[in-house]
Amino acid sequence: MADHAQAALACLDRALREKPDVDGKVFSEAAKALSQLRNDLADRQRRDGASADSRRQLEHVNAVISVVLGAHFPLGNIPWAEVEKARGWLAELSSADGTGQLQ
Amino acid sequence: MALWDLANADCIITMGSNMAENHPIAFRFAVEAQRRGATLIHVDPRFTRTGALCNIHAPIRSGSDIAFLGGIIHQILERDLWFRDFALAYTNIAHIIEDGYVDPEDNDGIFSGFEAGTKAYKQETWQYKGKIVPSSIAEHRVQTQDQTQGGDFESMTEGPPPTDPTLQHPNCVYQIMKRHFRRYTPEMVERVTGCPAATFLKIVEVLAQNSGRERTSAFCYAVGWTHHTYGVQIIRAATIIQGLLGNVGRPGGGIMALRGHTSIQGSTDIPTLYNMLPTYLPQPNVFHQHDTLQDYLHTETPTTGWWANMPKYMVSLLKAWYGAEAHAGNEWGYQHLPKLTGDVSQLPMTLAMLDGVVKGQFILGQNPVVGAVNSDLVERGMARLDWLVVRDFAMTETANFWQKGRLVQRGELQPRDIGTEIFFIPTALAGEKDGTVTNTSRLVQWHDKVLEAPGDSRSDLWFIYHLGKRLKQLYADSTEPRDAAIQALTWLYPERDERAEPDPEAVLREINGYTVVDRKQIPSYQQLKDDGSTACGGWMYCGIYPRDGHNVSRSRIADTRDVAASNHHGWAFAWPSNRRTLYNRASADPAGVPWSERKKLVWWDPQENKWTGGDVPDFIETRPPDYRPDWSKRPHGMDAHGGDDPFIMEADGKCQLFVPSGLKDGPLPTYYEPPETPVKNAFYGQQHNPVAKLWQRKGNELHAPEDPRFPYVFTTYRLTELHCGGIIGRVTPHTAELQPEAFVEISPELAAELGIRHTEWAVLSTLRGDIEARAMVTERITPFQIDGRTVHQVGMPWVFGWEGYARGDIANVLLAITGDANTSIHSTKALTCNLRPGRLAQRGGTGHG
Repeated sequence: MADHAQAALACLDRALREKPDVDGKVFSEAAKALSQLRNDLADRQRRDGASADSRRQLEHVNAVISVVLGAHFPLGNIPWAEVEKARGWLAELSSADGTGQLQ
Repeated sequence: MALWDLANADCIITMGSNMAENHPIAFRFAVEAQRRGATLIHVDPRFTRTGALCNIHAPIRSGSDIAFLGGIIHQILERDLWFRDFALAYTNIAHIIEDGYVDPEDNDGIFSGFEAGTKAYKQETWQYKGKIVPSSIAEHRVQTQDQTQGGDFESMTEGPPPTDPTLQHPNCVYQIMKRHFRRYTPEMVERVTGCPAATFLKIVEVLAQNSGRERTSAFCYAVGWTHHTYGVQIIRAATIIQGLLGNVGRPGGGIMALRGHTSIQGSTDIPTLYNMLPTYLPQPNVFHQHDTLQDYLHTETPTTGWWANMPKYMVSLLKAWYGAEAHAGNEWGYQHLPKLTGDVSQLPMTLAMLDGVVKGQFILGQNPVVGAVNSDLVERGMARLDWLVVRDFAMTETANFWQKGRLVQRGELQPRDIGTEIFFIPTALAGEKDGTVTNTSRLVQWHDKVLEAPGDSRSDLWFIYHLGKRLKQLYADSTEPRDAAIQALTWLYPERDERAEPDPEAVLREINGYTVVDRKQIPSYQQLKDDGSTACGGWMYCGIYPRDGHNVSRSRIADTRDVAASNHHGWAFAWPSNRRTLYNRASADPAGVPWSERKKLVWWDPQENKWTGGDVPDFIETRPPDYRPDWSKRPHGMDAHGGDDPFIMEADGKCQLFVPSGLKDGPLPTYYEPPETPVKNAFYGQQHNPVAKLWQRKGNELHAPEDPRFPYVFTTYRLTELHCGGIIGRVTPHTAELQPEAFVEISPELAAELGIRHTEWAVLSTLRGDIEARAMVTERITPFQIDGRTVHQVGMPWVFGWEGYARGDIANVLLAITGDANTSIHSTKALTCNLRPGRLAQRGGTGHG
């Protein structure tokens, strides 16, 4: 899971740094990594049972996916401010000095 | 306009449609018009049965429509062929546009406001000078100025937009259009479209002669106009022509959108589209100022015109959906509505399936493996789903792609590697269920069940209703906030037989609307309120079930053939208000007098002090023609419209020749080539629509212009005999026998050049894939002379697949996933391909013919 989170973070960092045109392939890569992360979280929750933490993690990852889709397939301008915010949520989830939920 | 109103036209131009074959019921009204003396014109790459029945056939290269229509506009303006009294009074031709507006003519194909990084336009420079004009169409909302982000819709209440009735101001719409279309000469039309200039000019003459006070003309189009990356702008070009010629809101005048047979109109009214709530209310967007209902209404509600009533429709919708759970204390349940983050229409979601984002999909009334573009990518996406539910009456390619699909046949995928769990569920056919179909005239017609569906087949209504019931049971005890919407949803429809089929009339009654306190049916949308006292599932349908026991869509009172009753008001229900011709106030002059006796429809009755005539007036019934807004009072809503402003859904009541807000790719149609084309854009350095939705990725690549590997223009179409997506006709022996297998239509000249013989095999190739089909060598298709060289056109029906008696390769394998800038609809009508004689190697051919 941590690998997927790191891969997604790297994609979002690259997107924020390069600010690509619409259809930046980096968003496709981010969506793939985030989907893997979501699937792993869901599998773990099914296997181990849901907790407040696991629900919160899933909600945050789903929210990040929604923002990434909005950037990948924008209605108008790419919402860069929200991408930055979503990147923050993801970093919080995967931070080594945080709760380590994704380890 | 109503379909039958086509019979009142003096000239009908069908373009972007093979109307006689694909809309045969509608085409009889065109034939009736011809019998009465009208001239029928067909503009199309192929000489079809439509062309054969028309007086004039004008061949044009697929995708070059805007050059042709722009040429007509040029002729109308340069030769003063326009209906001056109509257009000056009822359109924005005299309006003055902001100083900063820059036309593509001065910027090599790009309008002012373009941002290269995001490939999107900002619209500030397209506005009426000193105004911010709200868009009237929710579907086309653009992320630009809105009321809480620097825009100021209130500016529309301060006074009328600035105009110059002398039309001399350099930035008035008339002058802008003259400059914009000045290069759309007959010679340029011929150079770009391939249509001989003489044929083009003949059409201009006929159209102009059949427009004005005494005569009217109509355009008919179908997906031959919409399925482009600039499809909306093709329709816009026709709108400009009809606005200039006065062919709007009048008998026999208008633009007929020939919509699909299976209630496609109904599925946009009560939408299956992702970006609209029922009857054209905008879906909230998380990135817009839509945090609260108040924010949403403040941001989205136009200050002037009829759409200022939007809060009444929105609150009534929320009351219909959430019932007692919707109250003033919780914003009428507004937070239950999902909010958009981006484009989640079919094309992007196909790509998202490939990325693993989408887990499951319901397919109802669709067969995307055949009907959606880039069929191989669609298969790859579906192979990544966890689950797929397909409801149809016969096996479809979408339901068994895992077993018989192209990827499996080619060995690229093995069934065992596809993890998608597929549920194929039998569905009832039209005669096996009752309900409504909404046709292209906004006519909602009830139909009764005539026999019971066999076995486990059930109606789609049954399926959705019982799915909803089970979801509500599943989440009944949930404490998760995200489940509150399902818990709050009203889902009480009477079950009426042993199959527990919900009563469809109960659904229609809810869509019509009712008073909350005593649940009485509401007779008209003018009675809807924003205080929670009314509930309505779709404001435009209000009046379809005006009182208990009275389903107007059931009505079948035959026409008396009296002139005043010739709008068939006793036949079913046309939204809104059973009105048959929208904007029919325009059928009378500014003083309220019919433009002519021959073309009268609605007029002002000074004795009765109201509008009257042969249709339900599309206007405030008692507003006199000489009413003028009192600008000192900052009027809102309809108070800001005069008695001579027929276009009540627009912020200023005028037909918009120039569109200040609402379009993502420019305020005027301008010529671009399709994303794949064998020629350069003869008008501009800008080759294709700069804001077209292009998603280049592996398996969805596009080639550069003039790629010698793909020299032929390719288009796709339907067949009369194989209805809709094909399966219904392919599994029926009688119709399958009539069109037994797939074919590709090519001209004798191209056939001779390539050595392809009639009925023998040919292979078509694009960057997306290769298919094979029998060659139909026919003079219906002729080569074009484009920009001094021969360009060949090729065409193929897209309705074949591997199921049924009539089989053949799927044409949509060849197509790329690209989208219209405004609607995201796919592009199926103009691309390029290669062609060779022979068969595909894996089918036993040599690969070389």
